[in-house]
Amino acid sequence: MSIKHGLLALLRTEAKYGYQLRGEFEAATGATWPLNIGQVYTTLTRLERDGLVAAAPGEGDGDGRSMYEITDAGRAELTNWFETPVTRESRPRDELAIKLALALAVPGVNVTAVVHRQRTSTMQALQELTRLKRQSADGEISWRLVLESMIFAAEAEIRWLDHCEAMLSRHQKSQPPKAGTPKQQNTTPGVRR
Amino acid sequence: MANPWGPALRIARRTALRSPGRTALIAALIGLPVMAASWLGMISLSMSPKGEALATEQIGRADAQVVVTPHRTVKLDNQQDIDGSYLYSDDPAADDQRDPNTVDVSKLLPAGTTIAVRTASVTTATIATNGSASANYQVDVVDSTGDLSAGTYRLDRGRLPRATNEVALSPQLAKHLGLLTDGKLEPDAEVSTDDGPTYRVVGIATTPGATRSLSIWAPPGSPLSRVGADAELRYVADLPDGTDLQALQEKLLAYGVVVTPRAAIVHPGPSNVSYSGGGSAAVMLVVGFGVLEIVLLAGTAFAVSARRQTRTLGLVLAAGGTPADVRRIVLTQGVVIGLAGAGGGIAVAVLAMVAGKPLWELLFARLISDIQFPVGRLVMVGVIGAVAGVLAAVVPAHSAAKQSPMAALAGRFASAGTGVRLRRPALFLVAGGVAAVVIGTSWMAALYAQHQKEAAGDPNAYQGGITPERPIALILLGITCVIAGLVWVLPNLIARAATIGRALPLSGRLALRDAARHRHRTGPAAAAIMMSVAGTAAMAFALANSFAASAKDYVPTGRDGDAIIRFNGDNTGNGDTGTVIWTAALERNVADALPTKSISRLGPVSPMGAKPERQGPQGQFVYTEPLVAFPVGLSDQAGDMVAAPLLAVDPDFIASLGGNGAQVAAELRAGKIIVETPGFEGDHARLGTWSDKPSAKEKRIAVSTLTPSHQLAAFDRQALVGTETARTLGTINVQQTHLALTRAPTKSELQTARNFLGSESALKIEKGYQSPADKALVILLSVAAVVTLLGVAIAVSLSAAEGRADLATLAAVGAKPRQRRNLAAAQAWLIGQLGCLLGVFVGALYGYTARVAFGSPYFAIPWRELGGMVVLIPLCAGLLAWLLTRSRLPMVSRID
Amino acid sequence: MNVILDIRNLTRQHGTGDQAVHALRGVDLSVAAGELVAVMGPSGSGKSTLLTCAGGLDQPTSGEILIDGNDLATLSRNAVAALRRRRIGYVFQDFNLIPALTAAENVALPLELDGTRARTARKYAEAALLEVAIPELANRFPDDMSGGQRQRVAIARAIVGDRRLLLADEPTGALDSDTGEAVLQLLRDRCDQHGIAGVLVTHDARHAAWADRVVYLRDGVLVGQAGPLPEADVLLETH
Repeated sequence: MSIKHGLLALLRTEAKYGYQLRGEFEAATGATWPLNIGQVYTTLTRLERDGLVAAAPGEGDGDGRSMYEITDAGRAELTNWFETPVTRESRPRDELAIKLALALAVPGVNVTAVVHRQRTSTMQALQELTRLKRQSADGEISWRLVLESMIFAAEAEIRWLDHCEAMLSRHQKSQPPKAGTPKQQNTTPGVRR
Repeated sequence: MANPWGPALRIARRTALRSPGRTALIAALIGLPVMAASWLGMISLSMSPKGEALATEQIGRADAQVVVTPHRTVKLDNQQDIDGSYLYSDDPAADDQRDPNTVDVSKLLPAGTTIAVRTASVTTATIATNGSASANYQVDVVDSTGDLSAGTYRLDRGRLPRATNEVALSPQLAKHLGLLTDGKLEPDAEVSTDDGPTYRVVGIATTPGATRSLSIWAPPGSPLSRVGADAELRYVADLPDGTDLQALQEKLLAYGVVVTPRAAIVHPGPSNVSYSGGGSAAVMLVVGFGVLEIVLLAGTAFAVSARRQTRTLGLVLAAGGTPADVRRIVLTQGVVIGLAGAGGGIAVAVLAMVAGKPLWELLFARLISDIQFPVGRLVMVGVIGAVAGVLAAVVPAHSAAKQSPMAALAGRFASAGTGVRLRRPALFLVAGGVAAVVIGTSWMAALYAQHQKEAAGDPNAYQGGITPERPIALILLGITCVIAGLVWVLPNLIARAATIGRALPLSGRLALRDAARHRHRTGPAAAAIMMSVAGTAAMAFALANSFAASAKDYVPTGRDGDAIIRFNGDNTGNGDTGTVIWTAALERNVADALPTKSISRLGPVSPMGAKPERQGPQGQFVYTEPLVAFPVGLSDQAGDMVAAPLLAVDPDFIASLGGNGAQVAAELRAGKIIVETPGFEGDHARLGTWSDKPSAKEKRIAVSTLTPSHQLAAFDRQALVGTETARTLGTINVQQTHLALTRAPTKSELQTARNFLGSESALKIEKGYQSPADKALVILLSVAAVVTLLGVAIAVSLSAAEGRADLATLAAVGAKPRQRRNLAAAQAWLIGQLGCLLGVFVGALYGYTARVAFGSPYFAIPWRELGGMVVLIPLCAGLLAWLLTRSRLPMVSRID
Repeated sequence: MNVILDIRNLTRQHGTGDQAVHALRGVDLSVAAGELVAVMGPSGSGKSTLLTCAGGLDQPTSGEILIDGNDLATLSRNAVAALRRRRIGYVFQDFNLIPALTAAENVALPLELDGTRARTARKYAEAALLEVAIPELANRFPDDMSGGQRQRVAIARAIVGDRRLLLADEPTGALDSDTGEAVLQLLRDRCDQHGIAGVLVTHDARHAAWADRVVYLRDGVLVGQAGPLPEADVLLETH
């Protein structure tokens, strides 16, 4: 997703400079989403073009950078964004699911091993996230929310991977093994999931 | 090292409190028998006082009891009677009879002695009761002047008699005579004796030892206080201080007087009552049986308890407990509950004893002067109860300890099926036990056959039963092994039986499988039922054979259906001697009152010119010297042993008895006599009297070799002679009149007849052997049923508590309420049936022993009673379970 | 590295012949002091069996289990029970406590079974209850406690005295997520601060993530292991 709604949110209370916005954005989301200052200015320009922000009146700072403030249209857009839940279609494609589907379609790939490897990796990520969570028990709540979201996502992925493992195992048991190939191979194309 | 029982005790105590119902049940199972045993112990002690209490009852406040015997000199046997007085014997050869009434005992005792007369039981008075009937009652003579006799009686109303025309009555007699209403004595109450004098009743007094006796209290000097010339006269004496009792005792023996000092009653010498070994063995058997029964019933409840704690015990194992710890926890519960139950039982018994004293006095017809607490015996009973509690917990403790921690934690227990095997040692035990019983029984049968052959040959031999020790020991051992083996194998037997469930309908199948799954509790329950039914079956065999033996030995008084009147001198009745004097008019009155068909008479024959004399303390009896048949050629002493007095009997009467009666009658008509005394030999006898033996010159009379095949009680040890022959020898005194009746008389006819006779026991209708069988067996059956149903009720209620989860599942699946009840009923029926069948089997092992022990003529098998047990009891069990199971089940959590 | 629990080639088979069920097949696992290992897997994968064998509650068909270097197979039943009393702590998913005993008595149970005097055992129990932050529940009965409190008491019993190995079988299964997190925090702290070795069976990935290592069981075989993580400062640099 673009960061435009994030910037709008940060401008809601008061006008800010571009570099201020960058700093606050990173503070609010933690080091998980480092922003490029160029990205910030580009987005601001686009927002200004769309009429959602405007240059704030008053002098800029000594370096010629000016402040930005949110417009009424911007406020309306922000409200709309907050009130609209994130839907399935608006999420990016699941790279992992695609990867597994391809693994099944392509002969010679040990799908179960793929699943296991992915799960181990995700679990490791989950362990890291958990450690982070423990360390920031007294930290900012906004930071902790984001952390929890990632933890839950990782957990969901692991659960899905467990489920995949079970489905694959059931599927493999019902398929007659091809002569000369070990049990884990699944060589039938066009597998329906 | 800390106490390893600490945690166990804590868990045991708390767990016991958490399931109060089950704990109370086990405590009650142990406590009730303990209570009963304690109470029995205390009652039996109170019923037979000893020491000072006994002395007070016997001799009041006196120093000694003085007995004037009817002999001129006596010597002591150095043994004491139950009431403490010394037993004595006289010289049988010396002719030393003397009338104790004529002895002035005060002359024989040291100066300064106070005496009071105290007599009992040797004299009777015939008192007119309502209407014209009269009866004999015991007279107690008491001297109420001074207080020597205080303690030998309890005065309830009025006062003791002083003047010679006064009497007091016992409460029961006063009530019987209608002189006591609402506890108050009728004013101007009077009693009169048969031959005249009237006595005023001035009070009501009770004998401490027999509160329900029918007796009269008379003062010394009253005509009622005379004793027979051949009886004892008892005094109590207050001797002056410093009397040498030993010397006095020895001195008075030469005068035929026996002195029993108070000290001898308070501290009697060694008892002459020998313990029959058989008696204490029987007691131990009963006690052992009872303990085993308690153990099984309580064990059932314990098994459930241990089951419910499975997960707790698993936790203990997980926390590092050893199987020994697990065992300890269950056993401690046994100890705790056992002690609580036993302690409670004793406490309740003591309380009941103290608080219920009036009730016990009423029930047992005896005053309790002071309640004895046999501490030693009570402690022993309590210990046995506690031990029973522990024993009940032993098997569940071991089963719990054997579980693997995993199974315990999961609350899983092995269900029925192929995995369960019948343990070999148990089967061997059962087989060996049965073999031992069979061997012992055959051995005993051989011994009995031999005994019977010997007895048939010797007419004097005892024809009763035998109790050979070794075969009986073998049989008992065998039965014990069988019981032990069955108890051991029952749970697994039930598990195996579950496999036949396939053939049964749903309820049956469920019941069987459920019983198998819970065999830890259905096993002991069935075993408990088996034990109680076994005991009952054994008793049924015993009773059946005992009655058969009694029936065999029964000698009727007359022909079946006849009315028999017992007149003066006849002692074939219940221990009393007839006193009604025969007159023709009296006999006709009685015969008219009843539907009489014919009259026959029996009686002794007196020589011509013999004079009747009056006998008995009040001269109630008339005695005429009878003619006696003596054997020829025997010495005096031997001859006396087999001599038989003549009994005149109508030959037609003998003929009507049946059997060889006609031939016997013919012999009698031919002038011969028939001697019924065993050992009388020879074909002639000489006639004489007891006091005037026949000389060699006396006439002989022929003796027949026949004896009647149908005997009557009156014939025993008599010489039967035909009435015609008797009339030539002397006069016949009628002793019995037999009235042949056309039909059974009505109650009013009987009452009229009895009123004519004026005596309550003179008239009897012969009905053959009245076996008390029915009543006794009904009682027996009820006891068995009660114990069985108790076992079933316990098993059912425990299964309901334990199986709630299963039943909840059933309900959730949609089983109708009726089906749940059917399931419970089916299971109860199953356990009951199994227990009954095995119990009858075990009881029957004893059966033949009963036949031999009682000497029954045939092996009596109580089919009716056994069948009843096997069919009825399980049905009742099923019904009970059906009623007790609630149709509605509360929602129940599936854990614990 | 002080290895407390060492499982080598552990196999556990139920039944024989073609009815045999293999709960575990040749599993290797070692847990060092201060380490928390999570065992995950679907139901029937053998996780609980692994734990019960490690705790001596179940006998393996083959393989070795060494605790502090002692092979459980060489020890008598009583010696294994002694280990459970002194060295091993076990926490179940539910029904951990004996209903008839108070919390303190439940915690003191292993010590008392071991022969410690009641008063001394009680002192240790109270210390353990303090560590799990519920000292006020010492005299309460399990029936009067919430699920989370009961689990804390169970953990207290598993750590009372000087235990080296803590085995927890789905200890958070019956709890809500917050309470579950608190329980895991407890376990984690115990491993970090007191150097005990912990094995945690769980089906919840979130909870498993608290462990240093997460191993996966499937059909009785170890099929993967996540972790251990590199040191924390190394992590930040790669970001």
